[in-house]
Amino acid sequence: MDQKNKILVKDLNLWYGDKQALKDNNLNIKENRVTALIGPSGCGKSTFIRCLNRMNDLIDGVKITGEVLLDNKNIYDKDIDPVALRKRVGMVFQRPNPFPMSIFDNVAYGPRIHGIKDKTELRRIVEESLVGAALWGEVSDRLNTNALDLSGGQQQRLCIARTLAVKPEVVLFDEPCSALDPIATGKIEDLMQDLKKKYTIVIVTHNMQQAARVSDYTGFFLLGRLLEFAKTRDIFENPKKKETEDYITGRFG
Amino acid sequence: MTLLWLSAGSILLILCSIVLYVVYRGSHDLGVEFVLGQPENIWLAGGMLPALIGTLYTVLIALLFATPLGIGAAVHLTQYTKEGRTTKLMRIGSDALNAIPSIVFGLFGLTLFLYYLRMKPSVFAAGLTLGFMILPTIIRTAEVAIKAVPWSEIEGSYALGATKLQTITGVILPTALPGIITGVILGLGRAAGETAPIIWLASFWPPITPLSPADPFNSLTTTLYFLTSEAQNEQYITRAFAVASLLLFMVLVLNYVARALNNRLSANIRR
Ligand SMILES: Nc1ncnc2c1ncn2[C@@H]1O[C@H](COP(=O)(O)OP(=O)(O)OP(=O)(O)O)[C@@H](O)[C@H]1O
Ligand SMILES: [Mg+2]
Repeated sequence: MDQKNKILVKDLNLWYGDKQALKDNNLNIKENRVTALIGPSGCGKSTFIRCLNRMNDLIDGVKITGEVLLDNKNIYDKDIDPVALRKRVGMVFQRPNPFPMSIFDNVAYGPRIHGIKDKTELRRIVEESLVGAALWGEVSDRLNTNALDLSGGQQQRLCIARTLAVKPEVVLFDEPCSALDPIATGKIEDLMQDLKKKYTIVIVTHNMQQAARVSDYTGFFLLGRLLEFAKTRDIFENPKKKETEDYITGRFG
Repeated sequence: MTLLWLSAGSILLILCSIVLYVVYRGSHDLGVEFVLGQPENIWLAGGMLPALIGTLYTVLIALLFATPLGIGAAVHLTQYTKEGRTTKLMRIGSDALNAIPSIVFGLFGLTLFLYYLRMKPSVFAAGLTLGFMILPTIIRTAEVAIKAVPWSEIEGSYALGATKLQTITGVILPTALPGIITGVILGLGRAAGETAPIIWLASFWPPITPLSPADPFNSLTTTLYFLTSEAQNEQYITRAFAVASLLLFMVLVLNYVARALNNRLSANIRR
């Protein structure tokens, strides 16, 4: 209950060119908890989550107002380097996107660009990250094979390992299971319960059961607005807004 | 459908007849001695080694010049400029460069290196002239290869806290490598096979084995030209065909290597 706020979002607005995609959003994300974001397609979930590590900076014509405080420091302040920020706030994407290189090199990519050269140190980080992503047992004997030979679910866990390898504080998941089968999905959901002990987690999902299973807090987005935000149990058992209830019970488009 | 077969068939027929005819006409002289021996009697006897070395040496210089420049230009065009006036202008420029007849490159090289810079005809001057000629090919293929790198991979790199430069060297260029290499080898084949750009920069006789890039040189193509333009009897023509066979063989092997390398690398990268 009294968990520390890791991220505080204040009056966040975002425009793609002239089109406003996020409207006046306020939200706090607790440390070492899983926060789920749900809502119909196109409501701005991905846009929102990508504001938290400034991935939207890479898109032309994006304008953002408001504040995102990470440990009480606005990440949109002038003196914040988005490159350094993304090391603290990692991201796992909807489709597994391993690099076309070996499993080892995929995981070592982050540590290497951040200056770690020592071989034994790299090997230690790679193992630790793969263990953390529950993939080590399946790949420990073939670290030098191409990552694209792995199954979709393994690739996604590799991408999680790759993210863990740079030792982030927050991990953002944008529909991490939407390209995976139920077994692979189950593995990643289990993994999340482990991960939240060390990291703060935000996950976007289309899957209501998934949000209910994995998250501690849930936010419901509609048309660029965070309409309702509460403890997951409250949202699912006792939604305050009619739209939330309609969406959760599947009466929504 | 029949039309398709007909055109495919005629292409094969033309290719085969050219190759077979050239090799047939040159066959009398072909052999190890021809490839690795020293020439005698204004190339009419002995081997073609100096010309072979000259060709390989100039092509090497051309590649050393055009490859980094071409990749750099492609990276700049795709990563550091917004689509707009500048990129359009650079693209028009590079296309125009591609359309320039090779003899005009020759004339340009001659004027620039010999008259303006007062250099001697050399491997270096010829290599750079060939480099100018193949630069657009390398830029274009590298550009296409770089643009084909999936955005999701690039995003993946940024999401790990990589800078733009780290993303380019760590993800974009390695992923684009097969395409880039294909372009380089295409350029290589073209540089090895052209006569016109170096016709005023190569020496015809005596044979020279160039050691430093500042040395004069012979090349296979200019020697072929020399043999036919000086032809006084059947012997010259037979020699010329033998040189042509050697050139053909080189270019075919290069093409094959390009294909094999491309398949092998792309198999590693995407499946
Ligand atoms: N790069 C972009 N340029 C312009 N508009 C965009 C861009 N990305 C998203 N949008 C628009 O912003 C709105 C929100 O998109 P977003 O991808 O955040 O939705 P989402 O909730 O993640 O949807 P989904 O569940 O389908 O992934 C949509 O109307 C979308 O068309
Ligand atoms: Mg989305």
